[in-house]
Amino acid sequence: MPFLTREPSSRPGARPRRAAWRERRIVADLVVQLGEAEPGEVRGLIAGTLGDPTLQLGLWYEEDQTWVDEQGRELELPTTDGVTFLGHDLAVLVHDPRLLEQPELLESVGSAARLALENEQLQAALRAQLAEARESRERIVRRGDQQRRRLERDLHDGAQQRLLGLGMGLQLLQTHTLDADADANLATSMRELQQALSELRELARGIHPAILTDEGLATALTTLAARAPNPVSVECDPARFPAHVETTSYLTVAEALTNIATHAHASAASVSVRHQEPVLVVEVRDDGIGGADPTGPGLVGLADRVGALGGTLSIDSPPERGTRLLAKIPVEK
Amino acid sequence: MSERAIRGGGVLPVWWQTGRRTPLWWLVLFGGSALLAADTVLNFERHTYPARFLVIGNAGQIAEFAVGLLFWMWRPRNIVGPLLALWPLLSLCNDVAPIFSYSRPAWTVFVLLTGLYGAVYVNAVLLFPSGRLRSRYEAVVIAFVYAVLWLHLALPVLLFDGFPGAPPFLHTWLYVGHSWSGLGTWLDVWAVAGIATIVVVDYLLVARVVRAAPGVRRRLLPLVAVFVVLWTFVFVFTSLITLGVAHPAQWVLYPFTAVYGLSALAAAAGLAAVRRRRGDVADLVVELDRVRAGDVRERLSQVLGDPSVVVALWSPEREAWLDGSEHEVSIPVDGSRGVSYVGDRRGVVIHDRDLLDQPRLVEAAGSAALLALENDRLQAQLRAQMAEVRESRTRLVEGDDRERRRLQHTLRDRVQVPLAELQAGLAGLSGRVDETGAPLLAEVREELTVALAELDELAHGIHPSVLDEAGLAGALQTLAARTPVPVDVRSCAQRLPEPVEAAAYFLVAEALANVARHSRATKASVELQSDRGLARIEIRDDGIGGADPDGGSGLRGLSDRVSALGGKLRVSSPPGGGTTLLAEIPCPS
Repeated sequence: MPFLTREPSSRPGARPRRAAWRERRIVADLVVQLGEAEPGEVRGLIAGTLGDPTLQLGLWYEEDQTWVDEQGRELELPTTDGVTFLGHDLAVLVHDPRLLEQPELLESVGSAARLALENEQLQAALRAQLAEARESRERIVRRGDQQRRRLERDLHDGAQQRLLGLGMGLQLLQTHTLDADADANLATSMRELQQALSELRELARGIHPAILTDEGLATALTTLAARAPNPVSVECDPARFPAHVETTSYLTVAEALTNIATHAHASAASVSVRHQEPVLVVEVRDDGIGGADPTGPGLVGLADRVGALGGTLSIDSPPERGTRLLAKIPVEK
Repeated sequence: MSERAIRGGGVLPVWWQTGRRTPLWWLVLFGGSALLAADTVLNFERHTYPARFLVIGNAGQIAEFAVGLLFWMWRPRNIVGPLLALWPLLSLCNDVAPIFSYSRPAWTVFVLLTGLYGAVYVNAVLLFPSGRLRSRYEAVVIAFVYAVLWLHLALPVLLFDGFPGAPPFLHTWLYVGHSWSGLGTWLDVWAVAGIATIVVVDYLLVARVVRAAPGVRRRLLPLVAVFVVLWTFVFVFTSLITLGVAHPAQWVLYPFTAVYGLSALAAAAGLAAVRRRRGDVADLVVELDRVRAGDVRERLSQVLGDPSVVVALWSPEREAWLDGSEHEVSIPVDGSRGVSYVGDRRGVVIHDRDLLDQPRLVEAAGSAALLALENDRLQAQLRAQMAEVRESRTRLVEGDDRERRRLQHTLRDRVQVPLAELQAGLAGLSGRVDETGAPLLAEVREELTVALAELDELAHGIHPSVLDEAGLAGALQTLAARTPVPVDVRSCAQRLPEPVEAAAYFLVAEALANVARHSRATKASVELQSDRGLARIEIRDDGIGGADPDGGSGLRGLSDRVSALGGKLRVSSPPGGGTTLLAEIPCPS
């Protein structure tokens, strides 16, 4: 046999001491090699250590409930001897049955391999969970955005239109009143309606600015800047971007301008939105007192939202030196 | 596949295969064997001493030579092996030299070497097993031992007739005269210096044993014990003879002869201890497979026999070496500790210096520890990222909930309530408009009613106010009442945290909407339980099943919301077997 240079012992329990000693040294070498190995090299190392070039390494594939080899092909486990399982649902070695006569070697090689493979498997599992959590976070944000846009649209198309119609109806009624009391009543009603309507408009804009959907980020930001108490210069890429990118950029600028108006004591601020593949870079600067607290609820919420879309938000706010808020939001194709 | 595949396999014994033999090694093997053979023959021919001493002495020398060669073979770069092999050969000089008495150059060389064997042995013992000096002092002490022994034992024979009062030796090339008037005093001085030196060496060795890590101590102990007892006696007794205080007697032959054999045994024991440890790595691997990171250092220190061992991983983020508990570790640069890097310098093991002579053991054990530690760190990092993403997701959902509640309140207070008042005001107008105005007023009032209903519907979609008013239990009753199929609601009256109630409400709303739309069910049930900090919401119907949890964005979004609150949503919907939705959401109290 090519890989068994020693005759198998007739008494399996009574192996020569030196053989046991050699096996242990071999394992020590394997551990060193596994410590430096790349993921794909594990099978070769184990095969070399056990001296069985035909050895197959199977990894448990949870999704399909099957064993697969390192190339991802399905691995049929033979029904004969020579199958050694490593850990519970982790890996399996399919080897020459004669290796079973060296159980200690097999056990310690298995342990070394398991240590290395477990690392990989655990990491893969954790990475998958992490990816899933990230995706779900992104879905939550996108879904929230969608709902806000729909809500705004519903308010605009539904209640707002209906109330506008109502207002015209009330105007028409003015010529049909019978007494002064009724006149006064009608006037009050019309005022109340106007009041409710403007409240509704305000509410709708707070939910989602229609101008963003209709006219794009540049116009929406210019409008936003015009409402700010201090002069704000806006420089914005005029292109249209995916809705969630526009919304997040808009909310970033809105939050920054609110903070500037309330805390910064700034004389001027500037907003810049540039498309630098693959991200949209949103930058808001002011010349205020700095010292902004990035752990405040507004900025944390914003960071969560930007992070959920795979972007980053950074705040640079040294005392007395102004504040710079920088968001990078991925723009996928 | 070739035989190469199995390392250490083959006909030859493994101890031979694991060694490395240089040409010089072979030369020493053959030359030394020849010398030893010649010495043995000579000694037995001359009968200088009783036969039993000759047998013991020769066997001891041969054994010592063999141990030295083995050490040399297994640690080719370690000077201890050659020194251990050399000293029994040098010790033959006294015996073999007379054969070369016909040649003055040869005799001169032998005399020059005479007496050095003791110094070579001291040198070997002080360097054992790493082959490295521990301090400058040791170098000085070793140099001094060479000087003392050489000046003491070789000089009188090299330059003069030999020791005062002893039979004269042959003259060497460097012979200067019969004797020197100061020779006696000169030898006395060096004899006293010799005693002092051996005491210093003893002190150094004992101190090393005391300070050594237990695993290292085990290896040193036999050698140091033999040295401190036997060699000290031999050195001191030789010096005392020179000083004229002691006189050779036959009993002295016992310790003098036993020196060889016992030294060989001690060195062999030390060497075996050195060799044995590496096998423990296999056990370490098997155990590391079972222990957790906190115990890695513990196990490593057991395998290396060094309780002070430190194992650390490089952290690129912090640009520092961190141990298993993420504390920063500084690498000693003063050479006071052994430092071995493992796994492509991703890890480092800081250990007793004496382990430096076993780089493969340290490397293997260190690699195993590295694998386990890395495993742990990567997991910790991923878990931390995971925790961060989960927290941020929860914050997003909670923020969204707050925002919705705020919106709903604003809508109610600023729009719905004023419009309801407007409705009442318009009611007061009826009968006070003319005939054409009356239908117009009716139309306006009708329109307002519709607008209010729409706003109500919208507000409900934003945040069901019924949750605030009647709690989840009440809100579920309302939902059930609006569903076209009979719904059996069983719920606990207990209030749950707001985000949980909202998530549960929207989940039941979506589920019941699906029951009405798709399931063709004849009845449904909703069950809400809250037990030990876990809310459990189950919605069942007896419809056609086949709902796809990943398909409709409705269920997907709800599942995201539930998992953002740390919960789980399970959907079971076998075709024809009805649909069951089960959500479990933790409620921190």
